[in-house]
Amino acid sequence: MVLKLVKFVFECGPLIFAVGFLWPLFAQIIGLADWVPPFGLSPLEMAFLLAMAFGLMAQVRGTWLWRQ
Amino acid sequence: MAMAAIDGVSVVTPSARVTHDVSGMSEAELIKLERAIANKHMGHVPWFSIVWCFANVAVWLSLWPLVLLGILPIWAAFPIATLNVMLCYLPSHEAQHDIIARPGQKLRWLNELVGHVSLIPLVLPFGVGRLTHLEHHKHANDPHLDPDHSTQASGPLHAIWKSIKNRQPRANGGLNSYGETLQRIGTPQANRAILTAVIYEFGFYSILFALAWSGHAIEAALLWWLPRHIGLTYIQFYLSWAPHHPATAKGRYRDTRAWRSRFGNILTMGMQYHVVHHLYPRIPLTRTPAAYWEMRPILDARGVQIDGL
Repeated sequence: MVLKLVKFVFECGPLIFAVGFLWPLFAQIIGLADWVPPFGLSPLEMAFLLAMAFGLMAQVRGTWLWRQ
Repeated sequence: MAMAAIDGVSVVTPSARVTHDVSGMSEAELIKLERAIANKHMGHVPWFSIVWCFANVAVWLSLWPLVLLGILPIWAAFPIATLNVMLCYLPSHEAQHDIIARPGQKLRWLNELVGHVSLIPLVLPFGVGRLTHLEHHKHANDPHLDPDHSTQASGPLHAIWKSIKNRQPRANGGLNSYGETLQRIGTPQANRAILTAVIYEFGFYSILFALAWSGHAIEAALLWWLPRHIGLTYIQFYLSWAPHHPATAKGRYRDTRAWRSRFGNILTMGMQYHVVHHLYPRIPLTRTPAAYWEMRPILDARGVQIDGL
């Protein structure tokens, strides 16, 4: 059971990393850069979209890189 | 500079270096001389590596309060942190080979402490590093059994690219292949190392996430996450790819090379003389150059790949 859970967490690594790290990282960068996101999005919402886009891409493709 | 024995085997070396005339020596004489040279350099406690370990980790740890309290700007701390990660592997490497102290010796506790503490910035458990590294020594350049064989590459840029590629979520090489190696070893020690690796991974990412969500994401990224990636690339480049390139031959005098780097010995972390380490892993890092220059005629006679050194 524990082993299965650990395996599942590792398999979802990119998504977890996106939510746990990239999301707040992008939000902090947007704030530091004084960038106003489009469509009335808040920095946190924009950061979430960016982080999830990268995370999903890495999750599906198995790599964070642009080419395999 | 002085010319050592003119026999086609000995080399021109600075006059301070000891050299040997090995022309006409039998197989038994060669191995006897090789061992005598190695013995001279073994059995010394590498105090430099011990100080290096604790100083390096102390500097890296001190960056955190300095940056978080606003005393040191993050742009200044980032290169220091990167350097710390680059430098953190080798003291542990000395401990992996029991160079500081062997089991049962008085300083054994220090050997184990250096092994563990040194690798903290790299987030590599000592047990994992030790077991997989000893497997690398046992099976150097074996595509199936050498856990570091995935660093094999056609040139420097390819080596950097492969190091990064091997760290991707679904990659099979680099650190990702260490789990497979540990499972193959299958001893209780290896199983414990797997468990420790899982705990380290969870610990590392939990700290990163906690820092990030408490408003210190950039600090976490530039003091640990990115330095770790740069450090791993550097370490795999100079400790794994360069000294074994082209990593196709196997055997005591074939699986590692001596090579001259345009960046010198310090920037390549002493790896120009890596062949000596593979022949006699218990010679401390700082003594491998001297041992190499003494052994060079023997290595040459043995057909070791010597690229400009």
